[in-house]
Amino acid sequence: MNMTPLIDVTFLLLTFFMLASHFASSEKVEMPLPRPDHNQAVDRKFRDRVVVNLIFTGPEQAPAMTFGLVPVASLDELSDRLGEIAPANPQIILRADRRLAYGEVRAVMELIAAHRLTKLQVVTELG
Amino acid sequence: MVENAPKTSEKRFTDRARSRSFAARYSRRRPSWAMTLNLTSMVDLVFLLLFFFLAATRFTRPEGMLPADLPGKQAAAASIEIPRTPISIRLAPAPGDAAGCRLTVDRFHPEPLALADLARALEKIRDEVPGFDGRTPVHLVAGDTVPWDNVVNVYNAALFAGFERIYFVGTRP
Repeated sequence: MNMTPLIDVTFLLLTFFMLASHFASSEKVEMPLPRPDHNQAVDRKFRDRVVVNLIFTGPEQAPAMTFGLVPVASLDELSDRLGEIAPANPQIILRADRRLAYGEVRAVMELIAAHRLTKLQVVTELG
Repeated sequence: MVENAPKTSEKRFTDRARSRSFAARYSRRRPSWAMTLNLTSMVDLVFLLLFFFLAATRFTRPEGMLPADLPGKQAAAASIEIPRTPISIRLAPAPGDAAGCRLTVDRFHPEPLALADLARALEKIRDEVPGFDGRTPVHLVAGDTVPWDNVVNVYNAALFAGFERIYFVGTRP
């Protein structure tokens, strides 16, 4: 029995799914995340989730935001988007640049709470 | 007249023998008994493995998540517990400070505390002060200009100390 094609196809499928999962994580914008001591954060996977990125653009400047893969221009627009997903109450994965001021992140957290989205995860760097 | 010159038939024989040995020596055709190694499948597999490991490697830094569940409407209404005195951790902006903020704990550490010592200080409060345990609410009161990195550090320290209810509280300038 010639096993070569079977192994070939298995590897090909494995590679395909690994690549597909990489593309799925492209909503994670590259940025320096907080690095706490004795980090209690764990790497988790959630089925029902929305990633909100807060990107540092410069001191004393409003951060750039993305809702999933979509760039968001203002807090009002973010509020609209959060309102759309509020009935499902998914996990909100908050990825905020560590150089941002707390006030900028708190404004977004208040928006999330205002829409009765209760499941929040704060993303940190591991290791 | 040359005496040693071969006869015509002899000359033909030696020519044929010479050409045969030349063919045997320099022929590109392999003899039937020679072993061959097919490298195609090996190269195929090597490339496949290379591609697999390239796809499997994570080039980004690993990330983790800190659960920071926000209070919902129902949670507040259903609460019938006796109110507990919260622990308030205050973070004030201090641009001149190396840490970028001034950290104090109301009633327990009114003098500034180093960020690295906070987890131990909170553990001590939880274990040694009567009426305080892991269910005691921890209020994280931070100024708007405090770096987010410090706020997350404090939140993480409270989690490390075994507190379950940590709330973000803001202060307006």
